[in-house]
Amino acid sequence: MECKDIIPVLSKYQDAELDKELSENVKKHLKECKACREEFRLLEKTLFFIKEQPEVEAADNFTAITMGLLHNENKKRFFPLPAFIYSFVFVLFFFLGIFINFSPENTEVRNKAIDSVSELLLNSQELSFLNVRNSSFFDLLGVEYEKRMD
Amino acid sequence: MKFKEEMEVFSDDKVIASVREGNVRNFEILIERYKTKIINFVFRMILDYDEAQNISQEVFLKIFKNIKNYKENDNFQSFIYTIAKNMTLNYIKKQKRVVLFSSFSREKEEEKYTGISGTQVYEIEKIEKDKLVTEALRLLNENQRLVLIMKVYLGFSYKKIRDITGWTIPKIETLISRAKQSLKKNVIMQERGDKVVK
Repeated sequence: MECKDIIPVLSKYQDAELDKELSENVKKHLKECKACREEFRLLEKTLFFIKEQPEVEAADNFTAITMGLLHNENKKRFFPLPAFIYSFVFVLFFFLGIFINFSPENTEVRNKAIDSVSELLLNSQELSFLNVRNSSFFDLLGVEYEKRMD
Repeated sequence: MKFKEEMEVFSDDKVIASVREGNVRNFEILIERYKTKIINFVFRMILDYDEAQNISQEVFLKIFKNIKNYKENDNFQSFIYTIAKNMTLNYIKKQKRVVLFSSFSREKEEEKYTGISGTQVYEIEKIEKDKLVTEALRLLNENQRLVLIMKVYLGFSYKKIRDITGWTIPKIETLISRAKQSLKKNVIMQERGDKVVK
């Protein structure tokens, strides 16, 4: 092997990434060639130079802070749905309050309307606990209506 | 608490399994195990100690969020260094954009660097040497720095670096070789300097 073949593979040789045969050839050449040996010495010194940099330590409270961040992240999961779904439900109830004023006597129309709305709401499982038909929300609407009638 | 002490002798995979089962506190064991390695990796990539702390915390947070994607018997080291690599390269990209608009950033970085002594006690000589290496590493581009750190400080093989970065082995070879060549110039200059002093 000649110097021009050696120089390009020196870095790989240094990293012990050459195959065995090639590695032996480079080793043999380095013993014989002063110029290549000097080049390799500089490479070795380069690695030594950067290895001199001491390790930095983590700050004392590193673990505590990280665990704190992690617990906050876990708490966020208390609201598992995207925010717009919650706002959508809120707006829906708001408009229901404005537009639906049912007479408590007219139970047939009232139940029909409530059924259609509750079906819409109950389709999303997360809201199943609301049990719209029994909710006092509609009773309140009724009370409001009665007051106005007086 | 006793359970946690027992966990400390277990392998990464076992600790991860327990975290997945809901024992979030056991994640602390993984942080303790890897924090120094991650901080050093991030610090050498971005060369800013305070930012390295913040980014490392985010790295652990991301590891926690993605822990369900980790397959048992995979290499956990590769898993965490892939995340750390992505986050540091993203940070450097963002910083580059900021530098375009701010000419102060370089000065600021230097200020921050000397700030290390406030957080940790180094001897002055060590700082000077440290600074020399840091300045030399700063001259490399981020890809060269990445492969060099993985090879020199972490002792990863080219294959492992390929698995983490997704680059081809010839590309990795070239990056490492070029990085060494640039650093070599520093060493030569240092040698000449030494001779002048003598």
